[in-house]
Amino acid sequence: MKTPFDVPNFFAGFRFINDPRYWDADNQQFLDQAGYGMHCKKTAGTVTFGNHAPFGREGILLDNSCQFQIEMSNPWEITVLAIVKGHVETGNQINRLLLFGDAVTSSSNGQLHVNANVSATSLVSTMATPNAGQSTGNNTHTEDVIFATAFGFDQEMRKGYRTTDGITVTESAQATATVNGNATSPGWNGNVGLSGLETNRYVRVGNLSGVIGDTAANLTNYLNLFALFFFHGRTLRPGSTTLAKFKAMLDSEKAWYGAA
Amino acid sequence: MTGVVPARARQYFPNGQGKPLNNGRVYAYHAGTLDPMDTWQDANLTVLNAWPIELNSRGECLIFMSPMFLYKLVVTEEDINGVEVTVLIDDPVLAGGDKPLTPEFTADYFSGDGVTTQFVLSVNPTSENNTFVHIAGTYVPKSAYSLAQNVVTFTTPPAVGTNNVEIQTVQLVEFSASASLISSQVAQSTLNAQAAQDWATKTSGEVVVGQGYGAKKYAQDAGASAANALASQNAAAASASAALIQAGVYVDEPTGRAAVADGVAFKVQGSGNVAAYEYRRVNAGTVSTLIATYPSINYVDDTFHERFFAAQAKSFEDRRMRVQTQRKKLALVLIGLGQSNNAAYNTPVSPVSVSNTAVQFIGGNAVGDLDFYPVASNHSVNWADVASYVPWATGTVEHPLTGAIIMLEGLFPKIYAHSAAYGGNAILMLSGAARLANLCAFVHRMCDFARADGYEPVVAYTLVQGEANMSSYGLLDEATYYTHLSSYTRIAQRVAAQAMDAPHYKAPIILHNLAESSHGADSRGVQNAIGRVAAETPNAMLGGHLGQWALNGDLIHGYGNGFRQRGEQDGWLFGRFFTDGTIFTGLYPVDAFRSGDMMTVTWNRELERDASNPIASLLNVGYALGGAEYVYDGTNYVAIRGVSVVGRRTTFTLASNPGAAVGTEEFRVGMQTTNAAGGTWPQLAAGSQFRSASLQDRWVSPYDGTTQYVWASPRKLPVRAA
Repeated sequence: MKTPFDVPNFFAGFRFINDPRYWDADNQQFLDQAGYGMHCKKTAGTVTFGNHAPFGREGILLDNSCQFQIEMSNPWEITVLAIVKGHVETGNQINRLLLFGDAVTSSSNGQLHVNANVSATSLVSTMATPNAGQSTGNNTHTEDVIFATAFGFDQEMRKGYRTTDGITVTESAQATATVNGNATSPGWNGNVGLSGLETNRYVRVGNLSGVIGDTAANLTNYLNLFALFFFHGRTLRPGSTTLAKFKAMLDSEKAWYGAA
Repeated sequence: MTGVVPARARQYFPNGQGKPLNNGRVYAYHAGTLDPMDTWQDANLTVLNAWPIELNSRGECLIFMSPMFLYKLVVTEEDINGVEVTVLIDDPVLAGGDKPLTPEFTADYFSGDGVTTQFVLSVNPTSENNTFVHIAGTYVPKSAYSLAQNVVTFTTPPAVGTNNVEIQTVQLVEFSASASLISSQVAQSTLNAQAAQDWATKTSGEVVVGQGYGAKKYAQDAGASAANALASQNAAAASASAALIQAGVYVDEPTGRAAVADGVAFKVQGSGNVAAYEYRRVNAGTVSTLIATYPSINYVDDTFHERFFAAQAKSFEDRRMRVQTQRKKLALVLIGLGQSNNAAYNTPVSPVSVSNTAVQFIGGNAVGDLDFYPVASNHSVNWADVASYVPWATGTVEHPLTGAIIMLEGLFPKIYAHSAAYGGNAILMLSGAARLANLCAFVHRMCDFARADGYEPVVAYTLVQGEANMSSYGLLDEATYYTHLSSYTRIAQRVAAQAMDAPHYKAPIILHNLAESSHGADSRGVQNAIGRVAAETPNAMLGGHLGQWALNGDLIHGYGNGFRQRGEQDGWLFGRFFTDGTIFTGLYPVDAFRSGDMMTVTWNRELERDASNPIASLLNVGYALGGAEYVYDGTNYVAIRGVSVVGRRTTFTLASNPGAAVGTEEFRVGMQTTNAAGGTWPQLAAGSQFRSASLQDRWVSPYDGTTQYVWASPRKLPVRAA
């Protein structure tokens, strides 16, 4: 069995399990398993745990009513692995799993979202930066089935990567060479004012609507979140040794969760 | 098994005179031996004869023998003296006047064509159990075919092949033994007897040629049997896994696809850690979509968590051991943080140049290009800026890190230095989400370089904060400034730990004071906040006020030599940290009380006053003495006229007795609100003439050979009654 510790530059990780090794009930936070103290703190609502097929693995319900934040020392190049299940009854519904920053306009935040498509494909996930609109493209999934989805960025190549199996890695188009690397750095787009100073360095987790302060539960479009792992660097670059290590880890995680 | 009686069921034995052998005996042995053998009284071999067989008065007995063996019969009688003598020995004796039965194997070969399912055998096996079928050498279970008379019918037609269908039939036929065969069987029988003896006595090796092995071999076989049992256990676990995923598990994806309709999910049996795969059929001609992988039951237990945490513990230990084993190969990653006072500025100074052990990012031919952004823009580092590094060079500007590098050369084999300093909004730039990427980029890339060069990186920060964050971005009051600066230092240290892959590492970070005074109490609050953060942040050190060094005409930035000398202090502090673990907390007052016109202040270390320090010319002597001030009620100053210094204690003489204690009196150092000329930029007056008296708290500047000191850091504290 391989773990995220077998992948270079593992800098934050969470399992959303009601177990004191993962969930600090006293402080209402999921503990950063990488050891850097970037805990996932609850900011709104009540945590609802639930067991899910096929193996009864535990995860939490994200229906916009329960939200969290991670004080993210946001890396220049980032790779994210999320193990999720999505239920969406409305076409084109965007469920924002992660929002980097707190720009009022959600598209001004780097984000990872799970989207109900209007086409035959029921569910897609993608990750995007707010600057220059760099996007990794969509991974496709099956509704109500646990899936693993991974995204990453590469400053040198100015590309985004995505994969669900660690084998087939789809590269985005190369971002235009600019004076800076914002295109491949998820974050917060816009000048930081004093009012946003305390919050824009956080990654919001579970604010599905993307509207700050909106905690209304969405009963028809929601996610179940099982695990989140963050890595620094171009982990998913095709042909790299880090990708091979990532795949081995991904295989273990998928096998345990029974994820597609 | 049916026994066979010789010639007649009732055997007659004569004596030596040809008369009935009255009360004679018949001894049955295995042919060629004296090993007793059973005989029976009935053809079904159910009623055993006694051994030996007692003949009746007519010399008769009922004797049936097994058709599977050759016998030796010895007939005896008692002579006149009652002594038993042998009358006859028949050896060997074939069981029966009828011939015994023996198995006979018949093989029929057919050529499969992929269509034909029925094949006619040359014999009638009478039962499927008497047939053995192989197709292309692979055994075919009996469930895959049926037998009617001598016709075998397969469920699935055998594939095309020449004589690829082999059907073997076994029948019992009459045994036809030639004399030579009998002889050979006797010999074989003898061998068997020897084999039995050897099996019982030999502990290794073959018992006799072609007769198998001894006890050791069978012990080995027993071990193999145990392995088989384990395999059976695993197979049972696999079956349990199959049960876990319930019914509808197909052998492979094509089989499952063929069995279900479009859009329907089905499972396929897995192996190893995978119990099954779940697919969803697209259509008959397309490989189905894999939608889930189910782990085997052996894989589904709490060992997953145990392994995860074991990996976590090992990861932490590996990091610690790596640093420990690489201690002699630590390289320093030195990052300047904050405002323009940590960016390149002014003009370069000489004569001391850094050696080639220090490098910077390629992003600029001098240190100025990357690290000084005057506006609040969303800079995130371009790859081209940090793709590689070049020797440290100040170019047309000077940088505080130059002084630090000079002081640290020799302590580290290589120094990777750069500046993540920005214009007037240091905290804003680096505590915002997108801007953090800049700091991460610098620190991670520098650490990557160090590792690529064979070193283990350690990160250190020097930080300048102050006036611009207040004046331009509204971080005015002490509480707000404290909150953000605390986050800023915490995040910076976390970034270092992550880049170093060392979760418990707290990077040393030197804070400097650079607060303006035009915001009155808030200005002093910010100074205080910087001091508090320095005291509370792990491995933070306080480097004092930048005004202690020569400043540029803008009264904010240092001259080139002032930049370098201040950097020397940073290098000196880092040097102490990395060599003897000293965390230098600066020089500051810790207690003050007043009695009449006498105010006594206690400091955190022994100090002395340097009245020759030119900063005196900048102080408003109407208020301050050597940078120290007394305020009676928050607004009214009382001038200080004299001071005596003994050890850690200073006694100030006020110009007058301000009266009874009012509870709002303050002692301040390095916080004068106006300078000698009453200028609008009184940062110049924010230094002091008080410095640490310890010989350990000074160094000689490589720049000009002068002795440099640690000066009192700006601080205020209430004055209590004596």
